[in-house]
Amino acid sequence: MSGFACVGRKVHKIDAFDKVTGRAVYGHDLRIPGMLHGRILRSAHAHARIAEIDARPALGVPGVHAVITAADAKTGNIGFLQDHPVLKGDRVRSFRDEVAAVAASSEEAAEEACSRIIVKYEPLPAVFDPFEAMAPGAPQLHDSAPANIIKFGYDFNEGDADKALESSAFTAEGTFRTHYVTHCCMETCFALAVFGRGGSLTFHSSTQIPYLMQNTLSRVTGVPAWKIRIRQPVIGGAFGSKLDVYPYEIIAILLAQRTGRPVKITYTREEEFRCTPTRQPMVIRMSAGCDREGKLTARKAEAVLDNGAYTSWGITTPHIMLTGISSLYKVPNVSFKAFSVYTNNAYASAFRGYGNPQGTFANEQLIDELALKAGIDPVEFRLRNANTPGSVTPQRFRITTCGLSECIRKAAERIGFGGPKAANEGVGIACMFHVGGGGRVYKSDGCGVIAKLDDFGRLSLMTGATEIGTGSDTAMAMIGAECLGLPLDAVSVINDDTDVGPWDVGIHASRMTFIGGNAVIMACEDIKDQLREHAAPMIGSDPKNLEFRDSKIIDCMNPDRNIEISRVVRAVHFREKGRMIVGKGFYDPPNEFQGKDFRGNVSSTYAFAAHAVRVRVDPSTGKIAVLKFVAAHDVGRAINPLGLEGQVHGAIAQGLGFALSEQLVYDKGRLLNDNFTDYKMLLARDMPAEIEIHFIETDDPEGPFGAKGVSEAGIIPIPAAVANAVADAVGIRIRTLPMTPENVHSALKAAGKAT
Amino acid sequence: MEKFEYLKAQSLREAVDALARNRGKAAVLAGGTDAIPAMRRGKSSWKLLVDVKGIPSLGGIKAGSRAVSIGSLTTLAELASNPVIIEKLPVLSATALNMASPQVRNRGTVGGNLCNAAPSADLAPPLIVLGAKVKIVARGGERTIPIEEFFEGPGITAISGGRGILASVIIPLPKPGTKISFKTHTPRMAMDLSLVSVAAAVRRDKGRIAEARVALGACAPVPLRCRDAEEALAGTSGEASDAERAVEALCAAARPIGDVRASAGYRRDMAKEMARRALAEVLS
Ligand SMILES: Cc1cc2nc3c(=O)[nH]c(=O)nc-3n(C[C@H](O)[C@H](O)[C@H](O)COP(=O)(O)OP(=O)(O)OC[C@H]3O[C@@H](n4cnc5c(N)ncnc54)[C@H](O)[C@@H]3O)c2cc1C
Repeated sequence: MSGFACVGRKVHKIDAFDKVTGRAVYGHDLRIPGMLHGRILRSAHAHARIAEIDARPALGVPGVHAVITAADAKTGNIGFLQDHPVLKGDRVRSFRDEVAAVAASSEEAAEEACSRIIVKYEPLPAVFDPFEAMAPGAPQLHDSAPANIIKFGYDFNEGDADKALESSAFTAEGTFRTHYVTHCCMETCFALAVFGRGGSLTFHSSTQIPYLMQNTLSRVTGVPAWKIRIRQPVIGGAFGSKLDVYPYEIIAILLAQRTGRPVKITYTREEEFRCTPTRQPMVIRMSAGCDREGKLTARKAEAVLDNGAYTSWGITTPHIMLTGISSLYKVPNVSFKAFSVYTNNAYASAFRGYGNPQGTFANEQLIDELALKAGIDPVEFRLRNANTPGSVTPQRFRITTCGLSECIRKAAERIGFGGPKAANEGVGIACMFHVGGGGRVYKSDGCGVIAKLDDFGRLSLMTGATEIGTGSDTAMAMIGAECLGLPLDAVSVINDDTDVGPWDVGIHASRMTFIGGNAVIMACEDIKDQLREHAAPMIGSDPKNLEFRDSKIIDCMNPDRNIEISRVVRAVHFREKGRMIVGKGFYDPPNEFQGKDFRGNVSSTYAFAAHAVRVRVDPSTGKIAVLKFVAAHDVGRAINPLGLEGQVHGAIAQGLGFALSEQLVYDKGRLLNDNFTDYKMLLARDMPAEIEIHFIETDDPEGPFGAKGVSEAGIIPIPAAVANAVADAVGIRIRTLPMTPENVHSALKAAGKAT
Repeated sequence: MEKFEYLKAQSLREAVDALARNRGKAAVLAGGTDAIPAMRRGKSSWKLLVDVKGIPSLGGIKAGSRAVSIGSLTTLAELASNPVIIEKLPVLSATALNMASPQVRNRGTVGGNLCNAAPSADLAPPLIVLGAKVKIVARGGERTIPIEEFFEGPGITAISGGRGILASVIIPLPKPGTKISFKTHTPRMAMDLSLVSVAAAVRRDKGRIAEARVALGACAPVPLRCRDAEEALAGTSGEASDAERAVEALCAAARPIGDVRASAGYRRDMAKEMARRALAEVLS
């Protein structure tokens, strides 16, 4: 295994046993003496003026400590554009809107109290479709956005896409529609606010952004940021949903302030479905062209996003959608426009892939259509256009390592492209391009690690890097073990406390193993320099010749000269003028913050993948069975192959769910399926019987031991790969998600192909 | 969830009395896999739950020479794995095995599935085509009625509102020459409610169809026995054209609704498809 002791070994996640045995302590498990339970009263209308709120009846419920409404809650707004009041005072704009909140000694009392609050509404006309929302006469949601169009759009042009399309030998185009899905974290949202000495706030949270959260909580509530400490228990899933700060979190703080008691808010599953943000639905009109040899000439896309009633990260997802549109394959001319429209729907936030799955759904279907028109095999077509090391894309992304061609060949070969197929069977392939070396979407893309080596040879990595289930803790521990030659179980990662861990921007953009791993290496190098200096005289070696393995420091020129690492630590510690062995690292990758022109090397390396699927379509029911799935990923280096497989398996389940079955169904803004009976995540028996995962190791020079980010990548090509396979199987192009049996059946009927 | 009283009944009599005294306000609790979620979501609110799981006479599967009796407390897991059922009524064991998840099958009961009276209840159509009867115990005594008469509307049965307890299901053993099929359409492979389902049973005698039964699930307020379809088959030799006439009759009887799970039109199309599949199997 490439000469590594720990890196590259298949290991169980370090938190796996605690999780499967129920020992892990999640937010839901937290209880603090004196703690009250908070509950939120939501709007009864999709759009209405609030004429009056009478909260007094709620105070009569035994056990109620406080009731708050907008009148009591003088806070700033939240959200990317700060268009979102925490408690709504004069107007509600969607069913999820917070109107009042209660703190009580039990969940039941809080719920009862909420039901007694009397709110008088004056219903307003509402709008649920972004195109209707832009039409003259449509109800206006926010004064800042005439015609409901939010002044935060995307406009990117490289070369002249229109002209290039006109002169292309072949063109393909289509309108693609993606739908509402949600993250379905195993743990529903929770927040626990505890005030302490001198008005300091300890906020227990499953956030993905502990340090940015300190800042936001401070801005909104007025508590000084230096008095705010974020604690993170074990987090039961996030997938992007916890990248923002939400009203319920501020409400927990307000209730704790008001009552002088710790206050915890925990969502029910129904609330989780109704009130947490979604993936943003989009309508994407896209065209693409190529020359006679099948070389891409241009891509042009226009996307309209349903923003919902308030603005979270959803509005910025075109940023990442654009990366795939501009930079998957070599394409010289690109034009991209996107904007978001306010509606009275649920609002959209970040979700694994961040716009890229939606864009790729369009992008990769058009590639197949172009290949067909040009008479070139779709695999060969992709290979002719594949990115290569050393190239620069229209957005000025500098491609360093790139295993896209190997991924395509592997996926195509293993799925049996061009081979025999049974009736109604088809194969499809789709690729993806994504950031893989961090993503500079804030001013800093950094992560800090303090590494402490104790007298017994235990390495503690104190960091702000958050673990949300991706396995980043395990990867960071493995990297620490590798650097110092320690066994994996001698390394622990401590990352649940902003008072302890140095800053990290947050877990997003598949960046944690890449960025956090590099920070661990830096901190360990610091330790190694200190140990070398002390160990060299102890064993009579030159510090330059000292290596770290098997918990020892070994002279590589003369291995008989060696010493236990812990002995060196003790020797340095337990003496006059003793010292501790502590290393520190802060890694901020060499990537660039993009300007208004959307150009700049946003990531310090890029991830590539190709997915191929074999499906069978039942023409009489519309049901799609995914028979086999092959995922080939350029991962740079697999730090923990088992963890990586888990990430890709999870992405396949989530991506096939997105493609085939998951959908939030709204009727005039009201959610009809707030439960797992009718929100259909795929289950074990729906997964392909055969799943193959291949890692292409390109050994990235900037990555920790060569690794790239990969967590989001797995979901991105899936809907497109399935749609391409369906087209191959039954000759229909599905441009609207999800491909439920009913939707596929109706497309088959429309094409006269249903039996 | 609203507060409620809980009674663990020790005998059938105690249970029946408690229900009668609290008519309209009390319900039976068996596995609770339908009842408890409904209460949590505020779809029903009972002042009293009468737990019948401690009543031995409601359990057990008994095989006689002409019929099998299945106690209402029989769990779906037991139904799926019982050797008598697997041998004599394999359509029931196969159906039970396809329902819900292992956890829910360990808990959910046959009686609960029928008394919950969901139009999509998976045990109903096969039991209808098997000619099953249900034994009901009420204050006034015991009675046995054909299962298709048991269902009166979505969630409504001949005994709802505490008017009795379903004691057992009695199923005559299929006569020789009988073929039975049950087809459900679910978007997922497991843990899914049937969008539509069709059960068919056909007995041939010297090539002719001597007896035919067809039932439709999730296409009407109750699981539906479709006599027009049965008549289309009876006496025929079961050619493709006979099957097609039965399918037409069945489609004419289907009155599906459109909801969050599927449109009425898709349900109608799938009723036709499932009917074709079920009939093709029993007529082959
Ligand atoms: C996750 C999940 C998946 C499911 N999947 C399926 C599926 O695939 N197919 C399907 O058909 N169903 C399914 N169900 C529904 C349910 O599990 C079954 O209907 C089950 O058989 C109900 O039995 P129970 O004992 O739990 O009923 P309970 O919940 O105890 O009772 C249901 C109703 O029947 C009444 N009742 C129960 N027993 C009697 C009796 N002996 N006499 C009078 N009244 C009685 C109760 O008062 C209540 O109104 C599913 C449920 C869940 C939660």
